[in-house]
Amino acid sequence: MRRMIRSYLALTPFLYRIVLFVFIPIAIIAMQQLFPMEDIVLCTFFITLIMVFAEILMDYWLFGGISTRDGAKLEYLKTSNYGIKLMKNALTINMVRQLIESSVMTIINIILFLVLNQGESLRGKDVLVSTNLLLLEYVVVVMLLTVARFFDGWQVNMFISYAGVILMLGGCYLVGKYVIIMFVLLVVLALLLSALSINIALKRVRECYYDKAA
Amino acid sequence: MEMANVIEACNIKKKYKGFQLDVPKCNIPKGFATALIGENGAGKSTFLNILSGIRLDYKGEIKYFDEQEQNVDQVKERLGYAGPGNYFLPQWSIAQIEEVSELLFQTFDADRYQKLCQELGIGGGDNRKKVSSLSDGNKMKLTLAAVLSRETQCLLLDEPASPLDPLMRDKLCEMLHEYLEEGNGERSVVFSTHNISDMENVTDYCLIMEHGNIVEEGFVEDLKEKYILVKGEAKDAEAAKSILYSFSGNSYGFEGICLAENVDKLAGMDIQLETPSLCQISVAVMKANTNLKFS
Repeated sequence: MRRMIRSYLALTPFLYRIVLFVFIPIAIIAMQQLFPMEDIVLCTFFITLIMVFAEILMDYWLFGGISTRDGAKLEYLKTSNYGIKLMKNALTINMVRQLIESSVMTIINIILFLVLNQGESLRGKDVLVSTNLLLLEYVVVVMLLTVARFFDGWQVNMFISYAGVILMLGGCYLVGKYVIIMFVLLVVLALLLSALSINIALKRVRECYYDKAA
Repeated sequence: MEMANVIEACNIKKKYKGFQLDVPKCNIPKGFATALIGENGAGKSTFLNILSGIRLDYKGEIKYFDEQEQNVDQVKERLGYAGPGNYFLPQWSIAQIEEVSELLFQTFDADRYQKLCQELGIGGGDNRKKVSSLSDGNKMKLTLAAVLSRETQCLLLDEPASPLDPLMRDKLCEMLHEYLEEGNGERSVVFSTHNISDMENVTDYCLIMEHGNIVEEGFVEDLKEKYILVKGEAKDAEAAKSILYSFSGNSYGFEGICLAENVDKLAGMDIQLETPSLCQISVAVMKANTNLKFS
């Protein structure tokens, strides 16, 4: 596990970490306080919406274009036997980090919401719908990033992040209406898409050992 | 006495559209610096990529370090490949390369890497500098620093001298000399180059490639015995032209490379015989095999 985290950290520039782990969380919490939401679910929805946008844009910084065959600027990794493993570790930890970061931010915001709104209490349905929203965010991000990495250009990530926001808007209705079914469905989708996304990216990385014209 | 080889390549074939690499046999001697010379598109980089294991779509067999039953994955830790182009991810910083290298290679020495970066003046002492902000020369220096910070037994360097200034080329030769000396005959270097003159003092063995084939090879000293530089007066130019391996002339005289076995045929002409440089031999061999038209 330590080696996996080191692989991820080795691939992430310092500024990227500052933006992702410091700037974005502070900005989201600050915005939540500036524009207070009426209830917990709305609060979570706001966070997931911003995170979809941020994750897809920020990914270009880290894994932008790794699935493009010609754009795979990975010669140094290819000179080592550990190169592909390093990439796999980094992709896996990035996914775990995504889920944890969104969850932690949601929990912080819920706590702040409850502290600031003394009369409010945490209901079971709110927790379930919030969990669904987090899972929906994760599924949308993983699915769209798998596509975005086939293109090399931040504009593509920008465009795809808009698509992510639209998917979130559409999906939020379903996760609120069919809470249990959507929970099960999203857990299954999250697992499947995670495995698929890593496999697709690594398959493309392996393919860059081979030429198109060969 | 039979010489040990660091790499033995057999029947290496790789096809591109309009180009085919075809090397029936290539033995690279162990403990020496081997230069891979040839015009643009001759197949040098393709050959080096195959030898280093970063291109896998080829036919043929390669044996490393005189050992049986192995593939390139088993020896990658002992091979140090450095090349131009997309070697590092452009967003990586000098410090990040250190972190990545520590994970990628067991024998990577971070202290040595930092020392080399300092010694070569990469990034002006700022290790947060990104690869994308470095000049081509500094990128190559960084590549060399990363590869020389490991315990390797064979370096495969693709055009290491091209982006470097003359001073740094001299330093590169010095570093390669040091690398070979420290290895006590167990380390080897293979590099491709267009800067033959600058790299001549570090070159022991030479492979000259044209159209994906090796057209000449041998130790530099042997090649300098095989080929002789001939200089003569204009009056003998026509007669000499048919005997010489390569020829260039003007109204004052001519100059060319002659195979030592044909020197006798020049008897009676007013000529001067000299030992050619590796560059002169290479150009002569390339001229004799190229598709380019020379007047």
